[in-house]
Amino acid sequence: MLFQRDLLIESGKTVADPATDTMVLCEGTIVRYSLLFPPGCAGLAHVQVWLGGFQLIPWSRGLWAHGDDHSITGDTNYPVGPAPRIIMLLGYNEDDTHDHTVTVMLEVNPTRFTPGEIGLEDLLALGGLMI
Amino acid sequence: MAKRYPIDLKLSGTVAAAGTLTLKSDSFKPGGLLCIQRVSCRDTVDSSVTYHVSLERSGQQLYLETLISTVASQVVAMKEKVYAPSDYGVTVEVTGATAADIIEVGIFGYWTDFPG
Repeated sequence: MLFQRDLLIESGKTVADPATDTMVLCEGTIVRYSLLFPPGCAGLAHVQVWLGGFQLIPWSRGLWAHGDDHSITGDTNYPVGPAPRIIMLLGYNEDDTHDHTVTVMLEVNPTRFTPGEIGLEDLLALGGLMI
Repeated sequence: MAKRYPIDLKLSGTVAAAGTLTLKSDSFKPGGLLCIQRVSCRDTVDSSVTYHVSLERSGQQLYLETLISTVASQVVAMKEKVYAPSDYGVTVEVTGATAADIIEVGIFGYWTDFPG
């Protein structure tokens, strides 16, 4: 199951007061991630992904992923436990003019999922997209 | 390690004629990490009450857990702690209560700055 979220990082967002957004996953294991930096980011938009109270991507604490017309992809094996399963997306932007949007995609192998457990309306309300 | 600022809030309200009540905390500090370790709820009169606990900020709601009490004055609490951006607030929606009951909610946790 692929969960996706666009993180809008407004111009002037700083490390001390980053742009934040959330995704709600199903229970399972995160097996793959992609961070898509569209053309124009110019390495100025920076992103971290947190699960619970811990930084997940990049794994090195305090580092931020960034790029330009580039996707950062990796295979992982992060377990996602029982609810609540909230992913936090953080971003800051060194661009003093333009906002940037980075797309975060997480592929989850569900350990327990029955159709109807998470409805499309629930996902849209919660901010996640299931494909 | 970043300093942790404790959260220890008490909310209470009176159930409306329809048997429902919504209690909301203010949003906490923006730009940090919020950890809600425990949300506890009780109705001092009614025995069977349902509490829907969620996080909310500017129209975005994250459902956390549904708590159900079966005995009057029973305290029910969230089983899992949860982390979120610290500009979220806690919302508890009460259903199935008797009009004029007093609902009490305790919110415990902390917020801290992101380490950067």
